[in-house]
Amino acid sequence: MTQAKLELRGLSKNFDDVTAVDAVNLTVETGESVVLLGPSGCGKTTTLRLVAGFVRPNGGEIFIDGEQVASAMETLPTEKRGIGMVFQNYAVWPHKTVDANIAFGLRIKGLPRRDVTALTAKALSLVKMDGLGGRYPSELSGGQQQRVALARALVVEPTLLLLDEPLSNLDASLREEMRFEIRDLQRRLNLTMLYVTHDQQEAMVVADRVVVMNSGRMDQAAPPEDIYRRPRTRFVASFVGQANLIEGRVEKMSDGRATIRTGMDRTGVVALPGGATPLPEGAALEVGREVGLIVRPEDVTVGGPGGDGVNEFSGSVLRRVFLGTSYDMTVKIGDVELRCQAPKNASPADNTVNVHIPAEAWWILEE
Amino acid sequence: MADDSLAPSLVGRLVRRAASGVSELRHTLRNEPIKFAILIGAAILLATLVGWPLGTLFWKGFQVKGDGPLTLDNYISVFQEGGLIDALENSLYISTWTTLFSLILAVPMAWAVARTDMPFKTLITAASAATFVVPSFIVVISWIFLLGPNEGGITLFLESIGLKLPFRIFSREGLIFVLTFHLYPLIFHTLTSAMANMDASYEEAAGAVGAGKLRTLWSITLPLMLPALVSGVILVFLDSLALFGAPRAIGLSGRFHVLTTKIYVLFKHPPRFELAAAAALPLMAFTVVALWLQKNILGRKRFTTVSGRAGAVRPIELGRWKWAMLAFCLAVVFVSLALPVSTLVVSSFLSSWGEPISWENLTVESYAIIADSPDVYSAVSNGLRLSFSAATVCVLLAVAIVWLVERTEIPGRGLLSFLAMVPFAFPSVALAVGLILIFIHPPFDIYGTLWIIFVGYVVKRIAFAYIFARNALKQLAPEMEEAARVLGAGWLRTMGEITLPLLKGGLAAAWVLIFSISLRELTMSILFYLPGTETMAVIVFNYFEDGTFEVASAISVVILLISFVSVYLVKSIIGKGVQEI
Repeated sequence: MTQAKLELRGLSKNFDDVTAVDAVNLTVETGESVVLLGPSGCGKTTTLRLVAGFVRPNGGEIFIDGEQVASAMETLPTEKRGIGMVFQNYAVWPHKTVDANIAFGLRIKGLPRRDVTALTAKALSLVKMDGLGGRYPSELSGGQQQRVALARALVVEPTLLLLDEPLSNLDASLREEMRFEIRDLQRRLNLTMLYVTHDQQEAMVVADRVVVMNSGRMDQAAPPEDIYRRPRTRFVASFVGQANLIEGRVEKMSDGRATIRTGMDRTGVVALPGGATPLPEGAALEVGREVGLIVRPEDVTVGGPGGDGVNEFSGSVLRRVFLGTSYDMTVKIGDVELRCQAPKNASPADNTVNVHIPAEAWWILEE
Repeated sequence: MADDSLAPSLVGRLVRRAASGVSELRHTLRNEPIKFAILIGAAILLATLVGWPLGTLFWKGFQVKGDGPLTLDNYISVFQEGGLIDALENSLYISTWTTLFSLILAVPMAWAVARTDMPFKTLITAASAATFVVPSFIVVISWIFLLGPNEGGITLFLESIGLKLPFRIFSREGLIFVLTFHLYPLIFHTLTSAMANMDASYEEAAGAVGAGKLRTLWSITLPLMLPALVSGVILVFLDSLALFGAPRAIGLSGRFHVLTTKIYVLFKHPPRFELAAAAALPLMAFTVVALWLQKNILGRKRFTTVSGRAGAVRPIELGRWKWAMLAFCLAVVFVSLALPVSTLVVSSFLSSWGEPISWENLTVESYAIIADSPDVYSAVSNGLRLSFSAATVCVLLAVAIVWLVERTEIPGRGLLSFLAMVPFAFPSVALAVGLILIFIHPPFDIYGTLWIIFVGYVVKRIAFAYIFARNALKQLAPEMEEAARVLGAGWLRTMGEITLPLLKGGLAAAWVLIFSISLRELTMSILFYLPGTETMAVIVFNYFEDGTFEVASAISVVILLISFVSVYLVKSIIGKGVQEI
């Protein structure tokens, strides 16, 4: 199949007074899998429906393979966009058999019957549903119905595949299994894919690049690892994984390290990778500047032997919960309540503990 | 401050909404001309068939003398001249008493069925539903046969034991009697469904503080049921105002008019449509007031009594009173359904009306007459063609309108929804007057053809189709259609292959319902027919007015058979549809 590149330029959509999508710029390269991640109401589904052509934009443009398919003035009807789509509620037609569901798009294309039969069978086997073509959707489980929906979308060889929370109606174990399968299919068929979900783990598995959306805007677009390790905003940091948000002020800068005064009992030293700062261009990290920092709970070392004294803090334990593989602890250091994760065999029962936050564990937010 | 900022933002929102609707309209016209043509065509058709006649009727009703000044005096004088004042007075008298007597029958029955341990509840409910399947112009034939002054069966029996009927059948009181037993199910059914949904804990709480059963019924149950009760009362009042068949049959011999029969006369001998419009105005006014009451008073005063615990309601134990209650319910059902229907069947086999019932007097002659009569044949054929096409057009039009209202942002959707629903409440006679004012003139001079009857059926029944189609479409996830569009199917193909097949159950039920109701429709048919365009109900009525009661009964029996079969069909289709979805 020939896959297309998708471009959104300044895309906006209002519903009455509410701005659902706010000047979104995004390019999905050919064969790339991009996941729109965010809480409900962040505009991710509206963005997808704009690309599908179910919603018309108030501003901006959409290009598929360099061809403009939507603008505020003109939109190409959905059926002429050559896309495939999988819906949250499967939308498998209950009055048609599995075969008839899958064959629908091929019939619309006017393919000869023999080809329709052959391609339908091939698509069924692609989603591991061989032999179930004669069934009606009511005789299938939710997972099987979603496989049918996937086959129905793929069989017409769309240039772009859209998925709208495809797994959220499935139970947890099936959801996990299907994530890997969808990712596998996307890689094998080199699909250009735009995938919407509110589940961060799903996003991590499926995405080449994750786009975190917040109130209609794109907060960050980056590979999963960067989203987690190098979040740009407080929203991204707190939405993806757990994070301690700490406010501070730069006191000193030297040798790719910054010394920062926080609410804790002493200053922290932060490593600046490659000597670079993550701040927006033109805004240099300088002495006296107020910054937001994050520390992931699993990066904090609780107790244990002290190092050179740098980045070692002492605090009182506010809360300690046994989670099986580890302890979840909240430690109060100065004015800061630090959430940390201690190994199950390394958690002192004392009320006062020492914690170590390595210089590499701090991350300075852009805004 | 808050008010100052609210108004502009509201206006701004409305303007934006309208602008986005207009832009969708323009976009549809450019990219999907077939969809545009079908949807906009349906909207224009609906506006023409419903909006135009109703608007004209309101307008003309106030201009009774054509160019005359628009004053109340003028209006009143026209009313007196046409004998309309008497008709209005009779209508109000009859509807008021019918409503009161219906309450007396329906309230205890509904309570017994919904709340107590009285046996045979299902039978009572089914029988009172069936009562409504029998049209009033057919019921009235039976009652005249039973209660007629000279040869009525019950009249003669009472005379033989030295008693007299408390009223004459050919009088306003006689009409009240017939209408009460015909219309009480409207109150009964609104009340039973409301009571079945009521949270029993209100009643249990009253019992816990020591209130007796009657006290609880009076001070807890009834006030909670007030909204349902008022709805039922409005329905009975409006229906008794709007009915034509029974009032005409009784008023003809009783020498009195109600509004509907007066309008009929103004249609026929000789036609004075402007005056008919004036006579229709009070009917319209009552309908509008009732709709307003229902929306505003009841809307605000709605009691939330649905708790989801409906299944757990414990029936009130009546003890030996339950047999008295059952006797009362069975008596009502007997008088309203069993007696008139069996009388009708018997009289259809009588060789001559008024002869005693014996083997020698029983014959199938009446059925032979209707089987041989070309008039009957043509009426059946007219009825089938009219009902078939009206049901089909109603359903198709309703689907287009519902889709437009539910699935697009095109401006004016609220108005379309209103137009599709409003004929439901308006009396057929009023609609008929509105239609004749439009369709007697070019370019639509179709008066005297089957077309005007067809238009009448469509206008009166579009609301049924609309409600069924709307409920079905609301249950259909838009993604079902979107999935087809993504795969390359255009709007028309998506409608044909996905939407319509998935709405099949609801649409089929609406079709059968409209078909069967149209097949026995009297009011529009009799107002619009000219020789050659009679329908079955018109034939029944003409035989009846000629005094050929046996043949009228025989055709009525056929109509009843068709009606009951269709109701059964609707029920089985709806039952299956629910399972499918």
